[in-house]
Amino acid sequence: MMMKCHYKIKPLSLKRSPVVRATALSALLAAVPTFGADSGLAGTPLNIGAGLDMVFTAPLRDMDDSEFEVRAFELNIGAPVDPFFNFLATLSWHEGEIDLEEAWVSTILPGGFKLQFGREFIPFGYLNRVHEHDFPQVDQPYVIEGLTTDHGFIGDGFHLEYIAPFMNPTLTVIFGAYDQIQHSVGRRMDGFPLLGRVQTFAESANGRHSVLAGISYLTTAGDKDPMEDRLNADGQTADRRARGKMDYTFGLDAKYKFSPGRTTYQGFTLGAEFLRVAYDPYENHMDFVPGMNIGSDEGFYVYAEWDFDRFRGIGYRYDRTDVLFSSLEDDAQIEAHSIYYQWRPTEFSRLRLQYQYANDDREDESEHLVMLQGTFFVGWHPPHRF
Amino acid sequence: MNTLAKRLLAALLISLGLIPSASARLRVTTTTTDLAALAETVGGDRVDVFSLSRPLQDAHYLDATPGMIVRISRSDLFIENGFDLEMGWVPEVLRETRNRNVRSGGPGHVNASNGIQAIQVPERIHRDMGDVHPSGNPHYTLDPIIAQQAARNIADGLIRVDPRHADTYRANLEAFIARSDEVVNEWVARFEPHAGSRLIIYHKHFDYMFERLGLGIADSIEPLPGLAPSARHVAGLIARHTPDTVRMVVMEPWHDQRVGRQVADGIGVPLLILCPTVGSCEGAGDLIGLFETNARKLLELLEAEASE
Repeated sequence: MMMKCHYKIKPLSLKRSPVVRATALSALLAAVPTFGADSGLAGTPLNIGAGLDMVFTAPLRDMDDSEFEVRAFELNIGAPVDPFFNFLATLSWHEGEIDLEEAWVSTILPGGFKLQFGREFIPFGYLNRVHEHDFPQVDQPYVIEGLTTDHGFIGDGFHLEYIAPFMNPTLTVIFGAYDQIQHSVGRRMDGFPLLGRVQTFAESANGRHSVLAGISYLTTAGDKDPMEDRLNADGQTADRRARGKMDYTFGLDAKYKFSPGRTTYQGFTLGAEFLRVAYDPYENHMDFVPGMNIGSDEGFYVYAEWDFDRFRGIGYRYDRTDVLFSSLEDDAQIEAHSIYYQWRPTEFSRLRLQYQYANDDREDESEHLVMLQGTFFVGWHPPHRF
Repeated sequence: MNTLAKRLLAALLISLGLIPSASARLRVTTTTTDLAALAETVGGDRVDVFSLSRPLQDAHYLDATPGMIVRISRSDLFIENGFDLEMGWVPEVLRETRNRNVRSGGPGHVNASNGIQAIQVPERIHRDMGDVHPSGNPHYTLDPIIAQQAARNIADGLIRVDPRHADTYRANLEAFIARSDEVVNEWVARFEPHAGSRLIIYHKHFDYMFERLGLGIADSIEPLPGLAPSARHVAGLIARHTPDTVRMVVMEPWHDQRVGRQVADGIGVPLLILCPTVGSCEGAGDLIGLFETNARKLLELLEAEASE
């Protein structure tokens, strides 16, 4: 069976950031007696919400391998700190581990700038800033999960965001610098990773057509992908993911929405993202040979969705991506087709049924998967962006 | 720097919105077309107004876009409806705006609902009651008399950011109050023969107007606010009501009209699609026009029913 591979990532635990830990925990503890939306905390509005994401997955070739999992439990806390700072923290229980996924503070600077610092889903591409339960389909696109992480790129550091004073189209330029970023290749990227992103948003005069497009680049200026905690006594590792260390990641993303007009809940959405990850070989890997070239991996997804109304929608996603270190795997690729139907009884609950056909060059047989997802929220949830 | 260069630089900065021109009109951004119309009424030729939602867009459900952030960042005044109507997207946009003045508490921020006594304020808040608004029904702009308070709030906001033209704003406000009193009182009188007539609604959108005109609400197609009607609920409506208990079914154009038609036909009463917002149909060019357009449609149907 070719069930999707979840690269296990050591969570960036609370222990790594004592300041963030103290802030998040004190907010949590203070909030417990008044759990709910817009709770009061010493007269200050504090938004608190929790979400549950459950998935049943059934491989049609071998139903015995079906599994039901509570994929994530998420706790969101957010509020303005004062007139100058905004605060948001997300604690997530995911595959048996508790992660502090986000804990950041943002502030507005003169001249159209915004500074956000702490721990964040870094503003790389489109889906990286979207929580897994809010993804457009049940599962992550293969290129995202395979070449980044099953959590997305999470970084400790800051990003500076500039919005040019143009109305339509808009122009946003982002620069980020991080102490570390976690990703699939070698667990995390150290050595002062740097991020750049440019994005634009435009809409038609009647507001029925709107598009967001961006280009992102992530690299590191210093040491890359240390695997010290996985080295053996000889200072070497056999970890498959340590065969390469990330040199850079490049991404293109676009999202288009069409609203027919009269019945405004109806709408068409088209989204796509392309990723290219380039590597250098890791000298401490047991398979390392001087002069070896492990090249790069790339892939993309594209999806289309039609919402009949506020409650129901259907969609299709196409995936095509190299597997991790494809040059060492006979240039193996994964190709997948997914169709899905979703039903949103209210804003706070959603059920989604998805069928997926996937073909991995490394496997003998193609995979046919059926997935059923339930997502439920109580209290507050951070607003959704375009 | 010579004079020409200074002028060119000033023109560039003004065109980029980095500095205001001395004679520039105020840039006002609103969340709905109703509030945009009210801001134009009070601001007159001193304001350029832009609504973030389109006339046939339900302001409950919008995505926060980068375009909104830039638009609000460049505004002198931002006006929101309040009563949690825009709670799904306005907080995100205000958090991202680069203009502190238009954030809540800033001089350029107006919550138009301030001072309005909402109807249907729930005694307790629970999600099993559906998508209720904790502060009460947010659709107060459908009644121009209640919207007078929103107009006062807008006038206060305009005066805060542009005190030099306070007299203009106050005069425009007074004119709106006088005109809305006159028009609404006239329509209330015309509805007197039909006072107490009961309707089935889809969503609690027009309730302020119905209350003003003395119309009653017998039932709603939504079983709870924000929920899609089930076949059982629709069947129950048809079984419970007759043309003797309700006069018509009214709904907004953005909901599924097949369901409204099914209920109306099942009971044997007409279905009426009303205009939910300014700009959503002909004649609804401002708040008073919106009220008159809807009142006229209702009255024509009530009188036609009565004459049969």
